[in-house]
Amino acid sequence: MSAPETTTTTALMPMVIGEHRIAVEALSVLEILGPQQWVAIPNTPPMLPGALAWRGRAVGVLDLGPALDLPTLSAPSTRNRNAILQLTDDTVALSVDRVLEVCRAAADAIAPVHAASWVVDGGLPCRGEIELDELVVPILDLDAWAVASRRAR
Amino acid sequence: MRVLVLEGVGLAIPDQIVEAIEGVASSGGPELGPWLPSIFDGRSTPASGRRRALRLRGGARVEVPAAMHIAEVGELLDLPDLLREIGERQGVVGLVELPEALTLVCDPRRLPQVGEAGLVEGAD
Repeated sequence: MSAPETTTTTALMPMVIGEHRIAVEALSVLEILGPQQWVAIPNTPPMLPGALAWRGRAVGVLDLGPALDLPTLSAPSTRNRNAILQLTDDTVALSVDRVLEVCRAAADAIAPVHAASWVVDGGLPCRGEIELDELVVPILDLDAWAVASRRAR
Repeated sequence: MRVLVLEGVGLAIPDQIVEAIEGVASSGGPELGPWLPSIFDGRSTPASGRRRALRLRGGARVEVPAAMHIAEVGELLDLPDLLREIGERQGVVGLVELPEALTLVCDPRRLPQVGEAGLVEGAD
């Protein structure tokens, strides 16, 4: 008698920014905020242009505009939604247009990055890609992005 | 914490590091230090804007817009780790939430341009 087959799933939170969809692991999302005031800090990397206040501290604002070839954020207002994400060593606010319903993805549904490789080429590491609603959606690896950002400074 | 808010430039300076606010001649007067908004993010000196000089603890001076006010703020929000090193190079020590806007708090003495050019000979 064989052991029952188990399927590992990952909860993903898809988001919309411009005409693009991206996804992050839902467990990393601490809170979704509406539009926020943020402040630019000069000479920062294009994808980390400044900070906003959240729960009595400052968190970095993550702007995917440069990686996705979209208009960049301009202070003082963010996009319509800000996902506060817990990374291994930091917390960031990912500013997007819309946040979609969390979905569960089987491990074997997550493919190595191929169609979304242009996102990785734009400086945004991905842990894979998945097809959602007939769209290929890159799953961001923001811990890898944070490690690369620290190395670059 | 008290900060000196420089109106219109999105910057505040900890009140405790400011020793004096000095007048600057509108034309023809000697420069009393680098123009802070310019070294901070490249904004040039407004041609007709009124200016003041801040004499900072340690002797450095910077020129700033004349419009400023003191604000009492709850606490300084420290920069996150990802931004701390970059912020420190810009003299940014954190953020404060002012009624009018989220504002960067800057210690100009940490800016190399102020350390070199803003330290006026014979400053008291």
